[in-house]
Amino acid sequence: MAEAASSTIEKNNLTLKSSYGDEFVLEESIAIQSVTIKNMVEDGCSSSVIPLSKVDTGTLIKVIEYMKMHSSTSSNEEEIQNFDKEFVRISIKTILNILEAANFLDIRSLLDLCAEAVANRIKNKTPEVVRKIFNITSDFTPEEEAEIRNETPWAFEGDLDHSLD
Amino acid sequence: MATSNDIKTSITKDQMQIPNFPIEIIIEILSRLPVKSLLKFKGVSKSWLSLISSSQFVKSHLKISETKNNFSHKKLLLLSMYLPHTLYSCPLYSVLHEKFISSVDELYIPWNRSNIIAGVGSCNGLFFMCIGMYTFNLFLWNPSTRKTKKLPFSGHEYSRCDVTYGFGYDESTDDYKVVEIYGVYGVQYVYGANIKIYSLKANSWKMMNKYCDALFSSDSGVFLNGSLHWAVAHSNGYWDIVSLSLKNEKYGNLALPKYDPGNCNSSISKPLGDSTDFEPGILNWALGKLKGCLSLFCDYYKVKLDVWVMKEYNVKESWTKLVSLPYTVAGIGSRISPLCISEKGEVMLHDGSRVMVYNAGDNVYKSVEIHSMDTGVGAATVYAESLISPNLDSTENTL
Repeated sequence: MAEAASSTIEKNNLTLKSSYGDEFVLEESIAIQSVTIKNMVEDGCSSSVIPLSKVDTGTLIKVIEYMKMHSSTSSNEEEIQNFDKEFVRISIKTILNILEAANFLDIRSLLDLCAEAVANRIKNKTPEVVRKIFNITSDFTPEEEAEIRNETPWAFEGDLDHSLD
Repeated sequence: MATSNDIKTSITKDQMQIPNFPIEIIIEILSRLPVKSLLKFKGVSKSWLSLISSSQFVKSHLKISETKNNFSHKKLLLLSMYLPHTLYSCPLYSVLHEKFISSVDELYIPWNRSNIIAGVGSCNGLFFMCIGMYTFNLFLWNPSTRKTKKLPFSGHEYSRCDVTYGFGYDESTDDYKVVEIYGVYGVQYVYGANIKIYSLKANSWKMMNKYCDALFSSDSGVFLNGSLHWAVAHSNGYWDIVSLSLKNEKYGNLALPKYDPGNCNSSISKPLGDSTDFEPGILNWALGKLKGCLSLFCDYYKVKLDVWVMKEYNVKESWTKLVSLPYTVAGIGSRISPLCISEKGEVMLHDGSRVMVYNAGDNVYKSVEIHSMDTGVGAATVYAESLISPNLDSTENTL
């Protein structure tokens, strides 16, 4: 990895290590957008590499990309808004991975952005498709499911989106 | 307000069917869904059903739809110009950003459409509706879930001209309340003779202490900060804002800004609603709610409408004039009611028959064309979708 830890880690740099073992060096001021990392820095346990055993390399790259953009002083509000729009133009599964990472790392704005994006993508989908996306097995009997439909049949009408992504 | 932790602990572990996926993330996602989607996703699994039905989730969903400032979770309720009345709803976001609004839903209404809508109040996605001219039917109605509750008769005979309402939420008791002020006076005011208050939890009306002799504006009360607010004119000619706390049912007064008195010929300025013998520049006033703040609309007949907001509740010095909407620009109607203000400062408003967006930068009103509302918009109001049930006695909102 090009960004992998070099031998000369500056004092204000942190090294984040993905679940695959890849290491990324990041300025502390950027990394502390994560409350989890900020707490670690404040507790003094960030002297070495910070292992993120729940975050895979691809997800970590996205999270770092987000944090870099959002700590940049050279970009204006409009640029950040456009970045956010493009940032979530990825598969739902990938957004869900980033959501898990944002939740673990405690980056509120990233969590808001991704939760909003998933909500937008799934709002017109059928319950069947949503089950597949979230890896859920239905525990309803057909009768119970029919009862829920009959309570608000109009909620199941309209343009339904059957795609998985 | 419920936090995701409260909700998390209320869902037992064995109900959770989502392997490796934290429940708090599911809550974050579902809290951002429209109500229709949530009703549909009750059918995903038992854990989703109990989550979406839980009162904690209902509150956290409401909190997100209310506080979102990008308008993506807010809606505009639209009333057709002519009888029989039809109600429509469309996303607020598209009204601000699109020239033609095509995503318009006709709302299911539980009352006879040929009756007029005599009074409206809204709070937390619930609407209080007074239907009819001489005989009233009072409803609590959630347009997003289509749930309705018919309220008991308040026990008084009156004509519409003599009554004003207010509707709001008392957080301390988790109760919704309707205030009815009725008396005998003219078209523009309601003499604060008798005041009754209805509690949804108790499902009954009770008499309240009278407010001193004053004339309540016939506009519905504005709910904000746990209190209802009315513009009130006193017998000696001055006027102010009266608040009624739904928590302790006590009255209060709020100071007014230093507004321009206009061409005030009469000693008492009149509230909006009276259209007779107006001269240009005569001041009429109304209360509203913009950017979550109490607002004052000073309407100088056919000249301009000044929009004031009280940035900090009950702090006189925080009254700020946000914008002045001119009547002198071609194409604008004769009665402006501001509906909301975008982050860029554009003002969405109703001008008597249409929804318009005013841009102060180029001093232009842009008319918003709304699908299926070609005959005109009679009234409009902004609301946030919610799952709040008008039937507190039902068990569906509790786990």
